[in-house]
Amino acid sequence: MFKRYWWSILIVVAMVLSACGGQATPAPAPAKAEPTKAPVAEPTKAPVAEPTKAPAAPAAPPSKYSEAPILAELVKAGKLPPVDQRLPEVPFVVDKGVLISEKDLPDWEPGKYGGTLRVGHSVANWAPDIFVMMDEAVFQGQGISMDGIRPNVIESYKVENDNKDFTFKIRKGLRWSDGTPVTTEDVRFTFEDMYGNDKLYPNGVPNEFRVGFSVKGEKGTTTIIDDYTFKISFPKPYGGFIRNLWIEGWKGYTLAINPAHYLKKFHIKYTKLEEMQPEMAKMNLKDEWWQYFAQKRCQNWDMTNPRCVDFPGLYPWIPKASGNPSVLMWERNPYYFKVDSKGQQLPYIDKIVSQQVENVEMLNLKLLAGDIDFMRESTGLVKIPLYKENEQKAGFRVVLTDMHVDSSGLRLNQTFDDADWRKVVRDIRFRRAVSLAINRKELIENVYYGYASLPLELVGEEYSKFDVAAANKLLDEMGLTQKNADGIRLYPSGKPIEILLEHGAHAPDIAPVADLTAQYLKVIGLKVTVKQIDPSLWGTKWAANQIQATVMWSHDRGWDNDAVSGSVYRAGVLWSDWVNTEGKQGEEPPDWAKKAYEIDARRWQVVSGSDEYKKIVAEGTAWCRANLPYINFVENVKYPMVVSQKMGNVPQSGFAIAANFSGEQLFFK
Amino acid sequence: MLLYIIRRLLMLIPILILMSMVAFFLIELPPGDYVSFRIQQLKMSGVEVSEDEAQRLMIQFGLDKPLPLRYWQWVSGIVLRGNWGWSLQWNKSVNEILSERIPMTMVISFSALIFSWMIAVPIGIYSATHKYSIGDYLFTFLGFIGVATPGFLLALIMAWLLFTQLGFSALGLFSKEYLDAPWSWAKFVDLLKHLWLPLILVGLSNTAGTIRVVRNNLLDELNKQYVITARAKGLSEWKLLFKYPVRMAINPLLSTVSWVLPGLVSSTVLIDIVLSLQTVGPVLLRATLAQDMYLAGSIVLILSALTVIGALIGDILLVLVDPRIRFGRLAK
Repeated sequence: MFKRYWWSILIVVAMVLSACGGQATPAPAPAKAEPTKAPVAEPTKAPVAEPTKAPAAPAAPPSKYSEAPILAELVKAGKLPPVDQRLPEVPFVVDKGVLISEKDLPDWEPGKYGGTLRVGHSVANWAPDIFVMMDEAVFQGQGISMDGIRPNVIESYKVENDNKDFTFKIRKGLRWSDGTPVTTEDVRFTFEDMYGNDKLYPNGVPNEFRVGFSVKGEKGTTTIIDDYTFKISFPKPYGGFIRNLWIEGWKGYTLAINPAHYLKKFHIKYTKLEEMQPEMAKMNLKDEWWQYFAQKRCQNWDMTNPRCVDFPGLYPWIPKASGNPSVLMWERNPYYFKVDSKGQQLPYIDKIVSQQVENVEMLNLKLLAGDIDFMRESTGLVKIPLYKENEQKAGFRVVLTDMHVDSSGLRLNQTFDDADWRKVVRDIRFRRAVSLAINRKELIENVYYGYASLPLELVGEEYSKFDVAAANKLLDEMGLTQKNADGIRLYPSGKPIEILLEHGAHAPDIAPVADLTAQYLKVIGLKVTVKQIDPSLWGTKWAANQIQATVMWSHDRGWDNDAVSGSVYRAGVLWSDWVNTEGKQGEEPPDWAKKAYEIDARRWQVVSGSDEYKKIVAEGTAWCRANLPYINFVENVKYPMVVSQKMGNVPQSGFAIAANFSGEQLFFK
Repeated sequence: MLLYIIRRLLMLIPILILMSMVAFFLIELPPGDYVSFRIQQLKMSGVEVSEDEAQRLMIQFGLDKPLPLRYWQWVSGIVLRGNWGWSLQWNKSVNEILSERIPMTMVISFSALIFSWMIAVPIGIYSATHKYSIGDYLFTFLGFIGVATPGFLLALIMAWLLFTQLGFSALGLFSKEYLDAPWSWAKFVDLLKHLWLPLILVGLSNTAGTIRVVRNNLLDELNKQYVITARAKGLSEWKLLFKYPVRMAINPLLSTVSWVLPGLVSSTVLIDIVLSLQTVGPVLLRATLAQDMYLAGSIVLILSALTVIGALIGDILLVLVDPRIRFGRLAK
């Protein structure tokens, strides 16, 4: 305790910053091709024209709904209305193949009530596993796909007028977790008083409500038809709107529906400033009511923050005060709108408790000690031997599932400020040579333990081969034949080709893959210097076009647009700046890159998941193979998910994150 | 002496004003801000945040206001309303965060301090009085190892050993079943079960150093003439030792109160992170990483105030313990 003046703490902080900057962030996720689309009864045709009723009417008459014992007690004590009055007229029925496809979860069964799910988180107030487990969107598909898409918090919907008009009907009798009914007033409040208020939303509606999911897209208009029906109309076809209200980027119903009865207390239109000021003073605010409102309003991703305790939601669980600053707690929502095929109100699990640890590694240690029942985001493929060794002792099992984001890819920034570099890297032959020089088989064996495959989809068979001779030939053809004494090729200007590769070690595979890449490229006469930097510094530098080359993962398989226009950002930062600012900043991209935006614009028009849609997705991956905007190392990487041995309804395959999303059907056997 | 104290207290004001500025602006210095940190975090988990949304978050968090204005809001809140500001990362007031954590931090730090003194002072005395004996060599050897081993490394090794050998998870201060339980006797016992490890680890980091300090100082004193005189006059060895030389030898411990005081609040960052203790240290680290400037700035400000006050207390204590020390100017 002696030598601890305040600045020595700052130094320690600085040391830790530089020492462990990399691993502090949860292992993200790389991924796989869309799961071989499971053949499903009502797949993609859904949205067109006729209203799609919630499939499968309740299996039993309303009086047959049953509830968790702890809720039954509250009903008996008169503290809660009976279950029939808490459920909407038409509840969402969970059965085999509803939340997860039958292929991924063949032995789905109605569960048993009770139990506390123990989890952990390593970032203050941010428990991504629980955020995902709780999230509810406007729509629900199987896993995270467009297959079997059906209305979630809404009862039915209609798409008319060439994918321009969308009509939604809220489930009648649906209630917020405090018992207040959900009506179109909640929708009106969202669009009129929130998106329409220039203090709260200076730019108006979020991009989801603009054609093409783009800041430039035409805004949709929202009309309230009656207490339960509302309509959103766009001036142009926007078939991707449905997908945007379901999954891409972890959407929540909070995009369209927010608890007006609660939030009006913090909105200047309904509450006088003087009434809010005593509370605002605690935040050091005088008249910035919008900051106060933002603190009170909880979006879907805020629900792991203690400030959202008792915030009215439609989630399976609601946050509760735990009385311990390092423990987050959620309890079952008595008004949750889903039932299983036996009429049991979901969720099965009563309570979730998450303890904060100070470091991701500590989470793994807790897991080995048997203190954690479910872990997805913070696991790592490299830890599989460790998990296996402790599986029996700690009472968990490892499920090898797919990753929803892709594994790491090599990005060569084609707009990096270096004339020699630009000239060379913009030649497709150079990028192909780099791709050919990478020994992917070795990467798959050594870094991914064999749980990955060649990137046939985004790189293609021809250039995912390991062929040093062909790579050298391509570079020679480009005229890069001069070499210096170290065997490094020279730019036409006579400078040696030295590439600075800076990465943030965002995932456990990034650092080893980056180091191996440097070795592979040395063989074909390209010198790569690898440098690890802090992940948030990495973000800032990349956005500012200050990084020449990097290794980073992307969402290219989970999100259809990310492989196409999204990859322009990975090919040249200034190009995507130019597009996003409509030519005000950045540099104009070449025609091949512009083509990506054209493909995506077309894709957003058609109904997500339709045959036409799939054709455009295929066109996008072909574009990617032809242009190599960035160079993927591998595809179909597996990802370990760790669950308690006692847990039921755990999918055996598919995306790990999909299992995570289906938290309401998990139960303790 | 009163005048001296008042003057020292007045000097606090300009120092703290300067400190608050340095703390606030230093945290603002690196590129990015809390919003960019949060967006990065969301992106890692697959949440897409558009430019629009980012801009909106900036306004919602008040980060669109110019830096001097934000500084003024923060400082005026502290001075006028005792409000240390609002943590962007925790979404609650800094006052609340600190009041949750300071008690546990002080329990750990204070007991660790007492623990380390209880061990170090007797060993130091033993080493000095038995100079170059086997015992002295043994303690010197252990002492050097202790000084050279970083506490967090020891914490890691201990956590691993306990886990693999005994299956005991030394992380945190409570077992999983007591995490959300209200206070009870069983929970208290559970706390004691977990508390000893951080206590020893935090304590040990000082013990080795303290042993060296006490030993060296005492050795200096033991050869002084007043000791020989006292011994010649027939004072018993024990009384002699504790009445004069030991009192001198522990002077340095008192003069370091200025570091101990902030240490009590800030705790040992690295050990606490390794053992997942919910103390102030890790909060400061996280706040700095997330550029949560109100929280980080407040903690740094409190720590610097405690350092200055600690120095004052240390000086006063020294006068009380060692009558030879006088305040320079007052003596004139």
